[in-house]
Amino acid sequence: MTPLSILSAAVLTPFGSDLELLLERLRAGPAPGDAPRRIPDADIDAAAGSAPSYRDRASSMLLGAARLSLAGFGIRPPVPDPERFGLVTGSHRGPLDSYALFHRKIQEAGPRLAPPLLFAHGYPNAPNTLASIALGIRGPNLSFSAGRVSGLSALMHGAIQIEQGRADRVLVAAFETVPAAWDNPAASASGASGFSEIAVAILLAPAGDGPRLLSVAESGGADAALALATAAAEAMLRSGAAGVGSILASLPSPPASAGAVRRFHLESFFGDAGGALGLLGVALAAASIRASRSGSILVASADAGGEAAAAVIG
Amino acid sequence: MSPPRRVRVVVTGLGAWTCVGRDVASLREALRSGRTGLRRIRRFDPAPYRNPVAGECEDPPPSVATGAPHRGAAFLAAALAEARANARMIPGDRSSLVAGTNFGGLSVLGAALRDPAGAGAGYFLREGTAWAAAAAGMDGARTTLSLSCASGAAIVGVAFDLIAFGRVERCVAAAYDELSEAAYAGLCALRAVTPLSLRPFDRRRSGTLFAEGAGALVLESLESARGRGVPILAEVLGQAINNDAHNLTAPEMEGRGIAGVMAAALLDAGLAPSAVDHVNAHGTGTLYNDPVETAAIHRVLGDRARQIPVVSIKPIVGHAMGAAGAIEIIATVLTLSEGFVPPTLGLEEPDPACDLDYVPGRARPFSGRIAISNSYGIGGANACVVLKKWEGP
Repeated sequence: MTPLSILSAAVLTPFGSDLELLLERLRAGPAPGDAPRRIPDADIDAAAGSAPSYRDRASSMLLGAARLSLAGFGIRPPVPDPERFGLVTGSHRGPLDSYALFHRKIQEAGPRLAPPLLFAHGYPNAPNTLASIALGIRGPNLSFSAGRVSGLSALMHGAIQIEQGRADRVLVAAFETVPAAWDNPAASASGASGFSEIAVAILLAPAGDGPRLLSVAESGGADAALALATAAAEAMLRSGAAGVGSILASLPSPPASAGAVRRFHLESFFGDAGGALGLLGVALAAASIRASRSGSILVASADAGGEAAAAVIG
Repeated sequence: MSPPRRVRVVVTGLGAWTCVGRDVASLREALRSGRTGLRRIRRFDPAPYRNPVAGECEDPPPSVATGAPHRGAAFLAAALAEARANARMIPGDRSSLVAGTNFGGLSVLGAALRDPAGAGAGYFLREGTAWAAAAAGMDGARTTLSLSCASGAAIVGVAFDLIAFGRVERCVAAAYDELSEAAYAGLCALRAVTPLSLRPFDRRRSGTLFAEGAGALVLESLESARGRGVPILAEVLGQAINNDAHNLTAPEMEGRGIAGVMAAALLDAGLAPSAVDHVNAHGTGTLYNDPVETAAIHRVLGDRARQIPVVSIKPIVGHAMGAAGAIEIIATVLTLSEGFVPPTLGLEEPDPACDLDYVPGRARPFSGRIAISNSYGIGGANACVVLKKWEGP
């Protein structure tokens, strides 16, 4: 593929929004077990701005990261040339809190009193829609859900919009909340709730200065490891990069040895932020390359179901 | 950035599980005869709701449905199996899957919320896709797209892009949705459901009637289809997907987004508006959709708009939510390949604001070459796909 520029990248995490500090965190080693898993409300509100009425937490997080990313490139919404500006998003858990509240209301009050506002905000693509409205983005618009691969799936399809001339700039974003239903002692005691929150947005454009997306590819199959290896190999082949300096991976379990190449298992640092971790890896890779101005980094995601994707940032 | 060269993309397989039957043959017969699948809801008590009528599907047989996380996934598996069989695809052929759904596993949300892990109950979109892909023996890359009621058309557009620009040779685009009581309660609360009959473009229209089901299309490069020696049903020439960026629930009354998506799809296909011979409309029968869509068709097609048949098949198959676009594109492929346009049922008293040839009453012979299929969704999601009759290379 033709390399694309990563014009800006922005994140909201429980550990803040400074990508340099997050890179230091990676270098320092995995987080202790009691690390925060939720993004402070004040951080989300400051980034997203006030909501005119009800807004799901997932939608606020997406909007906040998107606004920060646009601001990082000096764009104040509404975006310029909106029909040529795309928004492609990915999330595994989506705006689940709204559907959970909707479900509870109709259980309590009966179907005749089903609340339309909660229902509309629970649509899987509602966060994308609300961000499109707030930012004035009217071009290509897609919303993906592919487990841990959601963010990189959004990245690939966002890149395609520019490659194929459908858009001049595309905001690619991924987000995951800790759903309220699973943020309780019972869930924690089950050992199943390692969920954490992250929202990421990166702004893509045709190649220019700065860090670049050299390639991105998807694969799949019953054997997740094989699918991941295939996606990574294809991404490397398409990128034309001679080698990678490090690997940032979002996987159900830590990656196997990669020889001398440094590798980081993002879940070990940030918890289970589902489909947002892969795109967080892209944002971290872009920040690292922006600082060092050299090297290339492989970002990979795979899910136990067999979805896999990989991207090379250089 | 100039777009790269494209390869030609063709349709080689269709699969449908709808309220009019369990395969494409049933759908074809219903479209030709004007037989509706809308009837009183049996799966849950419809008494509390705005209308007791919807398009419920027959359950897929145990050979297909056993182990499915929800009925919608079983619909998807059934449609995938038919489409892949028609296109003579074999298990393990590494073909990709782009699945689409509006509500995914909403019917099992309660179970998911009771599960501390949250996963495994089947609620998440990827779970239905993963299960159906495995059931169909598909082991290529897969993803799930959700673009409200434009999902079913958008997946065809996304699959087209993957093939046209050389990322994959074959990709199945398949969409599904299940009419759960939770979804129906919400749709009634949004007042999208008519309390009366579904009458697209009629002056008495008052809303839509929802349905469930699945539609699947096998897309592949022309070279792949020729190499495999499979019959070609139609060619996909272009697509566009956009958003109104207007309001989460209220329609954009100028129709700027839906006119824009049609114009962009025709530009993508390299066609002038005068080349279009048929429109398979979104045609929901809601107060606002039909005149706004009509005005957009006028704006984009100009004089050509009054010369061609424009139909809504929703009174036949219902509004199948996330699957609607895929089922309507299948209907459009049938229109091109078999030479008939289905009727718009329920249209008896034309609205002056809806002044096109909507083919009321009964199906009609068709000899055109180019058709477009429109799909729109809540929140301003719009998708348009351009198809061409297959007449050989």
